[in-house]
Amino acid sequence: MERKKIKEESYIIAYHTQEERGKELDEPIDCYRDDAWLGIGSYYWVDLEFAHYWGHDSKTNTGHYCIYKSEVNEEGILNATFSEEEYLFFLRSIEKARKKLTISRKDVTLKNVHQFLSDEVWSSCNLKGIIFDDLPVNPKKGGRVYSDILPLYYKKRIQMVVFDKNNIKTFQPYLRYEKCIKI
Amino acid sequence: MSNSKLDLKKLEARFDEILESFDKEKIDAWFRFNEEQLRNEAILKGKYLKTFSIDMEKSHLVNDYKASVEEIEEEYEWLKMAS
Repeated sequence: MERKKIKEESYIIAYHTQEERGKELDEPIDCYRDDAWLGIGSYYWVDLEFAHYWGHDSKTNTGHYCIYKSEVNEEGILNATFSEEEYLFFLRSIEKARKKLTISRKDVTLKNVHQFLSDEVWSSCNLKGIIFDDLPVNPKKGGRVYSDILPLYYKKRIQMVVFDKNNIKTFQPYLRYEKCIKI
Repeated sequence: MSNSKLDLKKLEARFDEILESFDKEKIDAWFRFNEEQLRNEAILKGKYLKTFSIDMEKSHLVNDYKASVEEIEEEYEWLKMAS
């Protein structure tokens, strides 16, 4: 992950992909409940490559997509991808929450668990966001494969959800009018 | 590596404390809230679609919602911002 240090604070350089609609955004568009897999918040890719794939595969309605670049303050953002301790905490949290939810329902989904944590727990814990690696394929567009050596998915497809917009220091257009190309 | 500066011990203690405060009644209430939010969002998204009608709400959102979720999502996000 690309980082920048500003006055002892560490910032992750991250990319937010949207449809190109001709209008420049002032801030990221939050994902909503039905497709926010880590809960409601601003979703970023930490690799430009995946930001482009997301544009080609999932932001296709106008035929073009755009990518915004942000500096996101890492303070308070759980790094469940590269920090063993933080990953293990994340894992325990998911398991505890899942167990808790089963007192009401037997058919608890992972999405229920993430949504519950996002609605009821994370903000009270002052957690500002989560970094986690997504599935190695885009479930909505199954054709994209993120590996040159199948079936070895050696490249992490890392996403970051930011719950607290105060952590987003900058938000600037990086690439506009990128053409969507079907694979 | 992480630069989160999170105190995981404190964080986990707080996490456990919050989770402990949820009994069955509160969890039931959260499931109802979540389902209601999803329903409201689906209807709201449908209303922002150019092609929305009452029939659409019934047929499209109820029966075919999953099939066109991306289309609804994009229209909803952008039209909501423009409104």
